[in-house]
Amino acid sequence: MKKDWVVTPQAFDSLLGWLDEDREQAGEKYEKIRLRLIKIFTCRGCAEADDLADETINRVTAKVAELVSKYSGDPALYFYGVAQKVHLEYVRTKPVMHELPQTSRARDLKDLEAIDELEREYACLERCMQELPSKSRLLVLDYYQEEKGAKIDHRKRLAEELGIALNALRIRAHRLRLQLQKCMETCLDQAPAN
Amino acid sequence: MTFDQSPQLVRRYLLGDLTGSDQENCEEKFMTGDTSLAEIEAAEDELLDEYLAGRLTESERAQFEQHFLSTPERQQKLRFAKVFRRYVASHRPAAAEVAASRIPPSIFNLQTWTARIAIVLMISVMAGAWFYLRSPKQPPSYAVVTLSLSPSTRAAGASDTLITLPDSVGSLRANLLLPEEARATNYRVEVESDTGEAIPTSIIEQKPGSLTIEITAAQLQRRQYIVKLFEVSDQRVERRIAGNYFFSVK
Repeated sequence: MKKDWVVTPQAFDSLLGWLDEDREQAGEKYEKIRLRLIKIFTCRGCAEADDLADETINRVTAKVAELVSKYSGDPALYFYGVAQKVHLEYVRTKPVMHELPQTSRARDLKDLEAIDELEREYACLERCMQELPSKSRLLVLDYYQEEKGAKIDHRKRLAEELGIALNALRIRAHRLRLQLQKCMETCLDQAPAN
Repeated sequence: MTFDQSPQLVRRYLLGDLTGSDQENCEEKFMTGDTSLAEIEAAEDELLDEYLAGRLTESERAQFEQHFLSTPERQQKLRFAKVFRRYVASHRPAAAEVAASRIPPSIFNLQTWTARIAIVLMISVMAGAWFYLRSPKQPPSYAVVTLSLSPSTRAAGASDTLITLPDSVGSLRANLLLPEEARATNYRVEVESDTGEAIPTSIIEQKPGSLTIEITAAQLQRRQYIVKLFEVSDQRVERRIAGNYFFSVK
């Protein structure tokens, strides 16, 4: 995969200019395209999704002078086309990992470490939950209660009580969950395992 | 068909079950913004929860383990989902607690406007009395910060003001320095956290070169925040002022 082209500030400026005349809008479009490329690479099972998204952006940036005069259409679709090529190259060159068989002692040690890690994660999550405003904490706990059919009815009722659409509730709960995950990961980084 | 038209399609995509033109069609729509990122990620959460609850079919389970879990990011999500599931199962909120956290629906079910107005008046009088009695003893405590408009994004190196909010502080007052070209008489402000959550705020003072907004301290967590400014014309037409104000709570 080509990785020898370095993005200069001028080239990056040109890219932003191609995305939108308004600098602010261009910045937002850039972020949106990058996040979506990362998601597509992740969904295609690529371990280095961030790197592949950056490689895609670099290749588009390298061609931006040409694109300004020759390409018409949504720039996001051009990025997608380049991403397809980057993905093909990745699939052709990605290393195959083979896991080595473990000895029983190594397995026991790993299990013990895993239990310890789970407890640390739980303690961090508990702390993060306490940091949430009480309304958000109750919402996230309430949303994820119940199982199967009861869960659907429960969420519908919850959305009605809050006066929002079911999908809006779903997204709100997801954002809180994501916030908790990030908080837990930060907490784990700050308090490394013994 | 796009992702937001069919949740089943998102599920198949996440399990690696879409190929060829079906996959490309959905991804193209996703790139051009027909489906939100949060929509896909919420579907990922649901798939993880179903996997942990043992509710996937045998073939879905195999696809989930071979395809969905093939990236470190997803494995991380699974780890979190396991801990989160355990936490939620052992922290069922009491019905009374949940009800108290929402606005009592009975107020809005009242059939007559007179009853509603009476309740609103009663609450206003009580709130007024409370503020009147409270003010001489406990002067309102707030932290003040001055923020300048930054023309770029954080990723492009915009300046970020770091704020420490002691527990005793009830709110944050941010003086937003207006750019020279801002000449409107009315403004609107939006505050958003880095997770996209809208934070309630209000403009409490307006001077020729600045605006002061107030945010309740309880609404702010240790996160990064972005403040967006809008000019509002006399005809109530809004125009976004280019640039953002950034701050982070320590």
